[in-house]
Amino acid sequence: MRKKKVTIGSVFRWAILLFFLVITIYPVIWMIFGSLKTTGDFYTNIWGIPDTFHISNYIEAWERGGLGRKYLNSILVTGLFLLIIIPVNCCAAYVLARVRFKGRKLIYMFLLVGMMIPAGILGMPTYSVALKLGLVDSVWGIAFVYAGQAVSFGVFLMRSFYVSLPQSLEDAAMIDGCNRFQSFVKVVLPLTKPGIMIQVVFSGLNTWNEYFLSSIMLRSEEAKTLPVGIMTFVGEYSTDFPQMFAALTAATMPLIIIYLLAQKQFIEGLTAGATKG
Amino acid sequence: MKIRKILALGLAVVFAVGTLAGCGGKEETAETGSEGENSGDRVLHIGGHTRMYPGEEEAWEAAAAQFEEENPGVKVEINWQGSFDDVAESVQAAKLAKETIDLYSCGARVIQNSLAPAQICMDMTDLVKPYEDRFVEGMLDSATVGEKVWSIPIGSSGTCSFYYNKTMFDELGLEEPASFEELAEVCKVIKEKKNITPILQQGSLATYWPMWFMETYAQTTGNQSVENVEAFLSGERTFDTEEETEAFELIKQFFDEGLIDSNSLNTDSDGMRAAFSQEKSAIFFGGTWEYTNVEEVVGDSFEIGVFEFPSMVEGVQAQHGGGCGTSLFIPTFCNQENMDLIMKFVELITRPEYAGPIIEAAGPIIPSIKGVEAQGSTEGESNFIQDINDNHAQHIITYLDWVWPSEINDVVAQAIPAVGTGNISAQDAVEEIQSTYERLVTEGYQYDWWSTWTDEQWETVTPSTIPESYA
Amino acid sequence: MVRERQRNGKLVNKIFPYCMTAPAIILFVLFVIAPFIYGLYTSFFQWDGLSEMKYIGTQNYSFVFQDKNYWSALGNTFKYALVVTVLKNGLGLALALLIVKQVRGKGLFRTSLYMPVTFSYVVIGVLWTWIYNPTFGILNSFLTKVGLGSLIQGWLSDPNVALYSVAWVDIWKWIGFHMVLYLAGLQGVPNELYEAAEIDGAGKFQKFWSITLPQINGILVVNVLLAITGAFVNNYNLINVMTDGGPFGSTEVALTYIVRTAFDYRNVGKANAMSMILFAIVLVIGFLQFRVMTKEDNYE
Repeated sequence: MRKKKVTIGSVFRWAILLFFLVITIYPVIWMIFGSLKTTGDFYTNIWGIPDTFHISNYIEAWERGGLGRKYLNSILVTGLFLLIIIPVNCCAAYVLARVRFKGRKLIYMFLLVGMMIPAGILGMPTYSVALKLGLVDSVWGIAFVYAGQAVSFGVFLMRSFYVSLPQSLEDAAMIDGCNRFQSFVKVVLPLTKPGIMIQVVFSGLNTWNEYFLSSIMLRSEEAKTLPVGIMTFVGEYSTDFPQMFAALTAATMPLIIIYLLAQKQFIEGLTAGATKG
Repeated sequence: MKIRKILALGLAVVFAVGTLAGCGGKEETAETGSEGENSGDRVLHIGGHTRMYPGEEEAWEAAAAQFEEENPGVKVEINWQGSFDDVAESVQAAKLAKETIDLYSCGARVIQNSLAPAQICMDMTDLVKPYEDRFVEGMLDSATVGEKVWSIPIGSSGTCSFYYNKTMFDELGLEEPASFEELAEVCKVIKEKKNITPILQQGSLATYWPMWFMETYAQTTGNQSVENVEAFLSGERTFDTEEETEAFELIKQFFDEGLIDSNSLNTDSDGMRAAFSQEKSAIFFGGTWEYTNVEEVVGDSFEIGVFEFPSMVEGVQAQHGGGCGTSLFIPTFCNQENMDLIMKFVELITRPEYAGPIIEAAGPIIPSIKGVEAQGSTEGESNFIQDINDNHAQHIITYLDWVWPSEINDVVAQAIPAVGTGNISAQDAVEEIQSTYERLVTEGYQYDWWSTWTDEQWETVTPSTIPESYA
Repeated sequence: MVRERQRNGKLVNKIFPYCMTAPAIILFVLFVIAPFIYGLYTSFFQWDGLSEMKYIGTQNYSFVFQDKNYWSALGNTFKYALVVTVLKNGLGLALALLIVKQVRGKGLFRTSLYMPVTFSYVVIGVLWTWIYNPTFGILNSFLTKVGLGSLIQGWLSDPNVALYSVAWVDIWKWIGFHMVLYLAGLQGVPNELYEAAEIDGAGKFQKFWSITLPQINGILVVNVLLAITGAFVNNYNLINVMTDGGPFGSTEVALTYIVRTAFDYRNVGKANAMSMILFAIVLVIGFLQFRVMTKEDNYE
């Protein structure tokens, strides 16, 4: 009796999971297929496998968009951004979650306000500020701008991870002779790896894909990033989809691979948190 | 421990490469900064949105190289920045950064609607006089607002027509229709024989609908549509007379008689191309710019034909929106001491041998420069260009969306399919347009912005010197 | 000596939290608050973004109050936000519960469900408008094949349906992200709690209600606030590529109208006035949600 119930439940469960699997994996395959089609094939054979695998799309797209340099720049911008944002957010979130001090609530609420500011219209004012600070036209500069805009989310997210950790862990570390900062770095940080991972993936992706600010802030050919390069394929009336998809696949696949590799860290982090917590 | 090592390594790499890249960038800016100041080499800065057609960038570079050869000691710096749609922001960014741009190439509509009214463009009326006869007749008119020339058209004029699957028409024994009744008959046959929606429009892109209105309105006003709209925007007439309602009613006929249906609202230009090439639709209404893209998708599967929007009002000639889409203007933040170089470059770029490759890259339908041959790269395209020049070109009037502001254009764009599918009446639509205009006026809109400019404002846009003619 | 060290220690302890938060605050003020204040400032001017600014006091705000397009766009925003917030969280949590105990294929599900987040909006736009396409889309042909042809809608052409069609794409894109967040929360719930409850004879639903939910309260608040703010102030890109506000303005939300006003209509002052109003609304909703949902000990 009980066994049968479990079976129906698991069939149902698998059906749902498979449904979501299809609607999330197929688009990736579709994009890769699209990047290998000719323009005619792309429009007439929309959902299927390419007639011929047109690998030259990648070569043409790479050259036409000048993607080599832009790829490097995107890696730099995103790398710098993460190096800035992760320590900054973790430090702030940690004290906001676990240290009692004057003005704590105020600072937290102040930072939280950032999430409620409508995106999109701040582009030009942000550019003006960056210009005054001499941050225009450099990968360093734009990484700082992006970092500023990722503070709210990161602090908010990380704080929720720190809050849920039991106080006893830190007390133990402090008894062992650690000071506050040491106990944060040695004990607390490793336990909140999942939070850091989520931040890396989420904010890192936003930075990797951001178009508008980078299109106005990065002015010389040497500083331009991938999203700007991908716009090369968009015309006034038509878009060169096969080439654009090739560029997009080249831009997205590494992210998916990194995510796959990071999975292990991710799972370890999660279970560590669970057992020790 | 391992993680920390990897992190440290990553950090080191990023910093090292970053230093390299950072230095490269800085050197570059220092260079451009000093070049302008140091005597000796003079620099002409050319800007514009990112080029969109294969071969276009190379054509500009060839012109620049020729210019450097003809003018020793002059360097041409070209910087393409931002997308076609973000021109106003790119120009704003360049201005804020105090960059020098001597000539800027972008869409004509943004110049007329946004840049010229904001005193970003130099008044080129006197500058362009020596070169006037290099432009095809009428082309400079579309760059003229308030009797002043704000830019020079380097490109190709487009216009709007119906495109159809000629092979399917031949198979069904159909002729190109000239009147609405004939078109309705053609569509009926296609629907019966092929069981498809005869006309499938790129209707989810709102901007395509006003092109229909331009057609019907030109007819219901007895070919006075542009004049009427100018009068409307100046507050001299209202937009809710019978002529406007009738123009909406005529479009509604297409829906009522089943030529087109609400599926078009669910279709963008890529969807339209896909359906057309898969022969799931037979006709669409679009601009001349569509041809090359559609032909590329269709390939050899069938032949594409083109016919004019049918005449729907007795005794009135059909007229179609058009105008030269790309222009070159002199920003007010140019280096005025370079005015001689700027005009020398204008002289060079209006020679057919240099304008030609630029225009050809975008598809030379009706070139703006005399001596540039309108020739297609394929036989089909050549026939098409021939057809457009012989039969459609003489009926071109200015696109209404170059005349009226974007707000009005959006209301018209949303209203047309709403009227067509019976969501609102034609009367509601015209009243909505009228009330939008009235709201705009309270918010400070002024059609003839040039009429209230102060002397100071005119001074900003007037070049300090008018160089001699280089023609 | 000892006393001095203690005092030093006290001082360090005192400034420690401020040092830790300073970099975040500086970055935030420079690149979020400063531009925001500049936006607020320009909302009192008539300005096209290019020429001289003209001070007009609060007139832009009265223009906004008289502009019915903005209010209908706000109405759409509320509808959109409600659907998106409920479904992103409901489905995200449900999926997390489904796979939390799963051993086989867990990594696969977690990765694949996350993939849409990595997608560029250009791809999403083409993909979904084509899926919904009436002539060659796979949704309609799928429905016809399984005998549900009567469910076919004008997915993006019917003004009553289009907003929800777009909302679904938003949900589809972010569901994996929320699921991963919920998973992180669920895996932190100690097993002993469930065991204890089982001994007390609690049912599945009871366990969920009295143990799971309170235990993941922190992550729940994060998820809901992210979904709400996303739906109000971060939905421009998606709607822009899918419908751009059509048909007949039925998918026009506040943000698309704001961007249109600033970039197409070149009325930067009025656009910023609209942004400020939207900001005020989201601020109130966000903090209300925060108050209602957060447990006291979690909060202060």
